[in-house]
Amino acid sequence: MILYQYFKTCLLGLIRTPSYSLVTILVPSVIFVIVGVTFSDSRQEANFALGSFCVFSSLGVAFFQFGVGIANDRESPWEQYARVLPVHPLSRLLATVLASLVFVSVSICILIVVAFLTTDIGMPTNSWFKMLFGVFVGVFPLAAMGLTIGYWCSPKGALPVANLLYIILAFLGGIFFHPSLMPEFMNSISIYSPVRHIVNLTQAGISGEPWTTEPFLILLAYTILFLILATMGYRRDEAIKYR
Amino acid sequence: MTTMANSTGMNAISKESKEVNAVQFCNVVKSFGSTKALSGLNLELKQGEIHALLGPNGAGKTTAIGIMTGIRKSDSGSVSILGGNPWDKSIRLQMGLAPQESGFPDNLRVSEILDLVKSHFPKPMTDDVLFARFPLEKLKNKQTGGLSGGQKRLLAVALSFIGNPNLVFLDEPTTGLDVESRQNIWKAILDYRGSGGTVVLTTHYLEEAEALASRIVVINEGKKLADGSLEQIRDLVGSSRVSYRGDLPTMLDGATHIKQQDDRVIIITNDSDLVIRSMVRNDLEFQDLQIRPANLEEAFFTLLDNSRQK
Repeated sequence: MILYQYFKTCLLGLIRTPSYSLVTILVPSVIFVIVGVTFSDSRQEANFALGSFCVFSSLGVAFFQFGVGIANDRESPWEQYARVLPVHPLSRLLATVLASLVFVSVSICILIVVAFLTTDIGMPTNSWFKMLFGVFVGVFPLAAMGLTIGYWCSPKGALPVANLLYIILAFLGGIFFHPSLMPEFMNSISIYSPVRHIVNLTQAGISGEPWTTEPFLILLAYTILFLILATMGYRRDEAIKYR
Repeated sequence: MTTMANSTGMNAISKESKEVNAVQFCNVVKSFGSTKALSGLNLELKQGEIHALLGPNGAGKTTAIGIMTGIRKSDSGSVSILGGNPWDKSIRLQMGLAPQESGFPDNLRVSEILDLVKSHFPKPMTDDVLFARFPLEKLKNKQTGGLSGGQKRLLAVALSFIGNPNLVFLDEPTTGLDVESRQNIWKAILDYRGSGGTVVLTTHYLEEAEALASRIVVINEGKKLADGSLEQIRDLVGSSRVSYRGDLPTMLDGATHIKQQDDRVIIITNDSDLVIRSMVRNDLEFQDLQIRPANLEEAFFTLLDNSRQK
């Protein structure tokens, strides 16, 4: 019941800020039309582009809802009041996660429709599921990175930091075009980007290549790393504000 | 005392739990950097009363409320709220808070905020009772970003009562409110006390403490200066106020506090007869003599002045 109430109010708050919700939901589709379509000469290339842009959707929600949203909330009097209510902070976080998943899902659905309209995508049902599963797995490390931004950046700093990382990670991760098209040094850095591993996961899903455990382990390691960093940021913030 | 339960659905308070103090502070110390907010505060606030924490700005009232509600941690000393830790869920379920600075997510409606906060408590107030006590029904569908300062305050205070708690903390509940809203909040607080609830409030309106509080704690510089009932606080410094135009004496038998205010001399005393007799004996010039009972404000400032002189 509490969880539902927090989920509902979180979602309503986001929906009623159209400048936030529309932009977050539509940006991946818009950029897909501008960039993705030009790299979609063959059906398989279009499929890959779609998979990458789905990851782009979750990246945006993770950074802007989690990152910027949490950094702003931290300073609000409402947040301080909510700390006195009999509810575990993790329940509230879970409600925020669920609301974000709704956003990611809507954004991805629109993206798929746009991709159908503008390119020649098409793949077996099995590949659809594997691609979306890859995107879903990617949500965890991205959300953890968003939390880290949210708990370490000031409200004013969070937006530029999130913007910068959003662009860099999207390019490095090979969302707009394949890393093999990048200069060699970028390609070699790209290997360390968690986004690259998520994109690889979706592409393996689409092409039907068997998944290896390696990318899952790497993404798990990133998730744990950023959860630790986020927790440290949370504790630091608590220590300053509520000591 | 028998078990309490009334039409508002107030949580039953058994005789045993009634004997536990609502708030127990033992030598509580709290510093922020080099600033001492609380320097060994002792409090024993009983259940079933309205306690007013009075003190000038920076006396440590808000810090004390912060520690009582578990928002802040004390550096040393022991704290017990309803016999437990304020950060335990079982204790939080029994308390409500209206912080000094209230803010709500701008684009949520009043009804949505009410429902959200209600969902934390097993037996929240029904809408009927809530809207009878707080005139929020007309604002129900309004987004909180569009509320006036006074309406936000009213909502914040309503939220502190919404879980039918045993203990409510109100940090300056009526600051910045118009007379009507203030009356509404006062009435709600008195209703709540009538149903057996305990209130701890801070205020800088002495009039508010006089109208509501059954017990008063005067705090200055992080320490308790005095506590007791309204009458006791008044008697502590003098229950009468003698004033006249004329000579300002430095000392006078029976006077606890002497000061010049505008063109009048004001003397706070426990024995106005003695003061008048010594005025006559000392051949003081005086005109337009007035004697009336001292009010809380006079007692309060006398206490603060005397503590500074020490």
